[in-house]
Amino acid sequence: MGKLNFIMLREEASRCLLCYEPPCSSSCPAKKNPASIIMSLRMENYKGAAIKAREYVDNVGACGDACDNKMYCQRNCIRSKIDRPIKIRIIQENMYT
Amino acid sequence: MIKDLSIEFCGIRCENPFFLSSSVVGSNYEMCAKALEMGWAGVVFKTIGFYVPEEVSPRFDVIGKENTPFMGFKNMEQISDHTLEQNLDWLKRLKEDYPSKIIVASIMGENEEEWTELARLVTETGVDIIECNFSCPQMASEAMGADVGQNPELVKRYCEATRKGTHLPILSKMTPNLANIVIPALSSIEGGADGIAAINTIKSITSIDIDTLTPFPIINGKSAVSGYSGKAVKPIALRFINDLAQSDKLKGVPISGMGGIETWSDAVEFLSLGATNLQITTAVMQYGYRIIDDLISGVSLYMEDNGFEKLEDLVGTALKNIVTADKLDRNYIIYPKVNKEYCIGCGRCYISCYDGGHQAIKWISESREPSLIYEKCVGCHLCANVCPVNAICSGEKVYKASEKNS
Repeated sequence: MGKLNFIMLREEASRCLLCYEPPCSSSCPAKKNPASIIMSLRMENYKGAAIKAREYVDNVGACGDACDNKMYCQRNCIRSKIDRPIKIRIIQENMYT
Repeated sequence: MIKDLSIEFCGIRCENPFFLSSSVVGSNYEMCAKALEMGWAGVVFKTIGFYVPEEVSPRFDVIGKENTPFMGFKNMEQISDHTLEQNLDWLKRLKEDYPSKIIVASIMGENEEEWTELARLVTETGVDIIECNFSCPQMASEAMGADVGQNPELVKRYCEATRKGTHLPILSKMTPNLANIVIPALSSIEGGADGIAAINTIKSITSIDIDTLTPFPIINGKSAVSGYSGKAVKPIALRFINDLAQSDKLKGVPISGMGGIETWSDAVEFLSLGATNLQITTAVMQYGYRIIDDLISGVSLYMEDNGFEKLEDLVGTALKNIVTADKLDRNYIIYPKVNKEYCIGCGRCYISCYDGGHQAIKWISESREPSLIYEKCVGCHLCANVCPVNAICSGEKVYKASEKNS
């Protein structure tokens, strides 16, 4: 992961509201749990976050596969009630590429 | 319109309360000249002495969290690494070229003779005030630094020695690395100091490189305890300023406050606790001398909004509102109130109330709404503290139906 990507990831994870019953996770048709990946990033457990992201890809495919690029996670992100949703797909893709 | 921010400190009129504190930010002629021209009222020049230290590389560490990576700052610099002659020449030229500004010479000796001689030498340069640095926590010499400031007897003797060499106002700069700051402050005044400067940096280890198991900054595989400053230390600094200002024995002694001042509201806070002069370094290291513009503008607008004509009227205004914990009113609960218009349904209040409070919020999953359970709520307001959109404010105030009251 590039240095700037890492800073973007940290900034983006910091914007996350860390919701209870996170709608990003409950709305994923592939049953991924992006909220837990972001929580790991927030707790600086970068390796743990990457392992989770990788496992999801291996088990249920890349982001956009199951939802036909509809990105229900981002559409339901509570942060968009303030300004704009967390870049949940980019975060995940950065973790497993 | 900018208000008149001038204020008297140690009997000297200053155009505003903002001085650079003794550090790298005021360590040569050009730097001080630039800051003064940009609007700083004065400079406490980087501490000078007969001792000329060797410095390490690198020499700083920062600590923050989430997307604020620089909240606290650790430095390992000692006193000026220029020669005494060079520093004295700079002080002289600064006062000559900026006669309306306040030049403070910070000094540090290793014994009484040195303190007297340094005081005499800087007085000859024409500076306005002398600050005795009793508190640098990372001096390589044991006879200097923060451990001096922990010893009231030594502080008194060094103040007396400084007084022998000067007629100028003397500021005694306190270490926060002790339990009771009033003790060495009193010794300073007994020894002939006119005012107190506080706080110097706090002894710290900011972080450890967990790969090499060495604290930062790493110098050839090793590190050392050294001074912590920046926004993160402001609460500790304010506490010490309050201790000084509330002390009957120090009544009327001018206080130069510092420790984490970054914004105009930080400045107002220090003034409200009794400081009549403010010193800043870490924020300047992070953002530059240009922060003076918003410090001046912000304080001025605050004065306008709150009807303060003179900066002096603001000094010490918060002191009457600080009491010991036993004197606080414990007879009521203020219930938090969720403003539904602002609530975005993240559920953070629910999580924190359950795991860190009193399980007094019911979460309605379908509508993503919190609902207060009054019987369980103790009014701690943790929910309001964690709400990311400030949707929770103080609501109904209810007096407790305690046995005492009934």
